[in-house]
Amino acid sequence: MWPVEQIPNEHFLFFRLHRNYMQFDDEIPQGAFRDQDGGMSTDWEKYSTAEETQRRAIKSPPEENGVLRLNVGGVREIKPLLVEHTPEPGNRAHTNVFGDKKKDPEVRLKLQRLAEWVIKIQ
Amino acid sequence: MEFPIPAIEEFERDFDAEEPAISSEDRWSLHNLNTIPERTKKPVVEPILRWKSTTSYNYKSVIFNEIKTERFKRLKIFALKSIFNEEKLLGFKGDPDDNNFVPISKETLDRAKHFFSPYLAVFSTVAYAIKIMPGPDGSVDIKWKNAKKELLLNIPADKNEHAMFYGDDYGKLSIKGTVEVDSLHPLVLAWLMDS
Repeated sequence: MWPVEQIPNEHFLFFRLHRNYMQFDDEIPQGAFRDQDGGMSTDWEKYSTAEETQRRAIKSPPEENGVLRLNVGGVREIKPLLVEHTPEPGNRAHTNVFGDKKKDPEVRLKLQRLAEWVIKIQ
Repeated sequence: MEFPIPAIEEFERDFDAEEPAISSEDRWSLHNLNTIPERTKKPVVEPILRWKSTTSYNYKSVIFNEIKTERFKRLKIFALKSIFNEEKLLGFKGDPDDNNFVPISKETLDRAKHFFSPYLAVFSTVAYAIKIMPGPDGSVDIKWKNAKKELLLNIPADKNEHAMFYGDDYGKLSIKGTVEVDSLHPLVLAWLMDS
C-alpha cells in the first residue's frame, strides 16, 4: 500500500468530467462537483497525468471524458473542504476532497470558478 | 389716532352694501355668460358654487380579461420552455461510472419551474444569463449570472427540504441562505434586482 502524503498548496488535482455534463452549456456545471463514496474523487498531479486521469473512466471511453485541474490551495480556501491524499492499490495519485458539496451551493460555485480545463471535451 | 375694531355686525353690514361684482368672464365653466341662467349669476366671491366641469375624465379600470391572461400564460409557458430544457434535464444520465447517480424526476423539475416562474416577470428589467442545470443527487441548479453578480440556487430532490442559495459579486458582498420552494424570497429578489 502507498504511503499517505501531505499535498502542498501549490500543487494541482485532476478531476475527470464526463461529456454528459457538458450538454447544457459551455460552462463547467456546478453539479459535476459531487461526492462519490464519501468524497470527491481526484488525482494528485504528482503521481498522475491528465491523460491517465482521463483513462481512468471505466464505463465510458476516454474520449468521452475531459479533465479539469484544481489548485490545492484554492480548494482548501473553500470552507469546509479538506484535501486528503487517499491512495488506492491501483492509483497512488488518488486524492479525496471531503466536505459537503450537495447542500452547499457556495462550495460548488467556488469549485467551478477554480476549475480549469486541461483536456477539454470535444 | 385710534382704530377701533368694528363689531362683526358692522362688518357684515358694510360688506352687504358693496356692489356685488359679476365676473366678466366665466373662467370656471367656459359657458357663455348669456347662456347662464340668472340664478347662477352669483358674485365672484362664490365662484366654486358656479363651477361646472366641462372636462370629463374617463377613468378606465385595468381589466385582465380572458385574452390578456391567456396571452400572459402563453408567454410564461414559452419563457419557461426556453429556459428549462426539460427533455435534456429529464434525460440527463450523469457519469456512467457514478454508481450512486440519481436522475432528475419530473416532480423535482416541476418544483423548480414553480419556484422560478414568479421571477420571470421581475427579471425582464435586469440582465442576467439564467441557466438551469442538473445539481447533485437528482437536484436542479438555477443560476443567475451577469458581469456584476452570480447567484446559484439548488432545488433539492427531496420535497421536504428547503432550497439553498449562495450569491456574490465576485468580491466582497455575498448572500447565502435557504428559501421555501413555493414562494418568492424577498432577499433573493432584492439581491438580484440591485444590479
